[in-house]
Amino acid sequence: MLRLLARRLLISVPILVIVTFVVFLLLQLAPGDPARRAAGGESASLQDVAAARHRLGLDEHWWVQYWHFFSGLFSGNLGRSFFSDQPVVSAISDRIPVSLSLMAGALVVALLIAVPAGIVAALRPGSVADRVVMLISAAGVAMPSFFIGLLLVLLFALKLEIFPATGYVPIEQSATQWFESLVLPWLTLGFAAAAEIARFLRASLLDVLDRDYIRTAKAKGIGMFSVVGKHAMKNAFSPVLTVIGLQVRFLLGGTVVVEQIFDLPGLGSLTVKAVFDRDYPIIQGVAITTALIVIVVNLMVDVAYGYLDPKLRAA
Amino acid sequence: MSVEQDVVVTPVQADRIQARGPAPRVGFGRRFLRQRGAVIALAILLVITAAAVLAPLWTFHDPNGGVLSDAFSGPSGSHWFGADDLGRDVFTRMVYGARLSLGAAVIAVGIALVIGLPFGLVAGFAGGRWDTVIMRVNDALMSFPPLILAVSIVGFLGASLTNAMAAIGIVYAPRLMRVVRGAAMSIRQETYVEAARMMGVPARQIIGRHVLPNILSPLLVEISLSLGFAILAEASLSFIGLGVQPPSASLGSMLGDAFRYLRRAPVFAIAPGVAIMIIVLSLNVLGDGLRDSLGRRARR
Repeated sequence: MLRLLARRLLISVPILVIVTFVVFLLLQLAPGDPARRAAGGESASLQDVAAARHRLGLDEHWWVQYWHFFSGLFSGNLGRSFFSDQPVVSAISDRIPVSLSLMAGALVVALLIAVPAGIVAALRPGSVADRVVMLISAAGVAMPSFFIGLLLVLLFALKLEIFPATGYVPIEQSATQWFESLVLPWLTLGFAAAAEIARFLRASLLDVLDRDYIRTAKAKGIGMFSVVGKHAMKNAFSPVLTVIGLQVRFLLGGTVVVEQIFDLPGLGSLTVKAVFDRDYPIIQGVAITTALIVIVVNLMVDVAYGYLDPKLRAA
Repeated sequence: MSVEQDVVVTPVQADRIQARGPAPRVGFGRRFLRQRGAVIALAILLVITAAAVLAPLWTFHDPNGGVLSDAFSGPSGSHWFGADDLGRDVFTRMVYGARLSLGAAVIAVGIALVIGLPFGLVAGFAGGRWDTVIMRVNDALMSFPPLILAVSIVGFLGASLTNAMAAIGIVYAPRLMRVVRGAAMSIRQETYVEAARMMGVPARQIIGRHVLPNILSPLLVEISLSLGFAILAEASLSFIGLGVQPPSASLGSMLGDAFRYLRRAPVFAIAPGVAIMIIVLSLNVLGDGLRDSLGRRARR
């Protein structure tokens, strides 16, 4: 188990280096002069631009620039916002709790929907229940998440007026209002994720339920509930775990759109605002942070995989 | 499985099956036609594409010019889905929006293909160190949440439909690359490729004559699915305002604009949303159908 963890950590190192390099390269895509942008745009004097260039290290060789960028990461220095001069790290850490609570809640919603739906569908393939689950999940995969959000706002906020349409209340201020402000965003992001997880769980359960040991377990007279719960799920869940790992990328991306719809002050809305302000350091910071989250989650998924499937530990 | 039993195998076919094994393209047309869902999906896509491409020939309104007195008029004979805040016909805008969305998706996937195909071929066919390097870069690119990477790229390039297409192409290139690499790897181990190599056939020729034709089927499936992703991605970018710029509209930007009038005219949002769903759903069903009728692992 430890060896698996060590090996996975080792593979992550070059990936992390390349990720930072890609984000570093992004700056080279920008049209015009980033130093001028940092100095305040068109109206900035040549002196200010030169000062900004020096301050940002843009007058250095590119590999020196990259080294500063890379080493800055380890001291928690991602630069400062061009716009507010706030350190990027503090801008991100201010926002990240909102996005993480959005994603965590969405994942809970997704699993609460997908696991029972996937099991029901897999137990009787071809039945009406199976077809309904497959149809809804196919539609769910094909719907943009913001369309789901829009329909939910239409129904629950405008017609039924149960939940607020937009806005965010911090949990310190009022736990119930915090919860209410997040219900629709959770459902929006959760539905989309549920569709994919349900499809995967169904496929991998179907595969497992066909195996000999399941037949043996059934023949021994073990009830269906514990055949599925104890024998099938543990084996069917490993591929699903991979999907959940992939879903984290999707959920993080989804925050961009969902936070925009519901006006939540998270990472996603920070990114969008930064893009419109051309606040390059913030965009770079968010890109690195989200990639880091994905890498860490995938590491955890791999380790969990090893726990669920002992064969992989030795490999 | 039961479907297979219904098929009558003529002696000629039986010979062919025995002689050539489950060759992927034998009876592709027939296998595809048997997938009712995929056939319907293809038909829907063809109709939508034709309607979108030929839009100027059969729509009566100007997509970007409206009659202000018509603003917010509900669905009627002349405005099927009503007219928007500027009195523009929503249905016409949708047709032109679908045209932009489809075109953008095709170009984005084309960009992904131009990047992904050569790198995938090199990684899969050459293997070794090249493969390791390319795969590490690939893993790194895939560590970014797709939408965040796309938004970031557009953030640096500047908001426009062209940049959005480029960004989506870059984001989805690693996916296509993986598929190409996997297919190329498995074909490299085939006896006939081995034989060609032993005979000293240059690698470029082997790739052109043996590898490319054989990876066509998995590639086709992936392209179909990627088009769906690209449409969703373009819709998301345009929804935020980073894709197509007004007065032009894509299905995604129409949804974004409609959000402001959600209470007053929900149909503005529902119509383009449903259109996106139908297109993406059709592409996914088509992709699944292609996979089932093309691949060697045709039957599960």
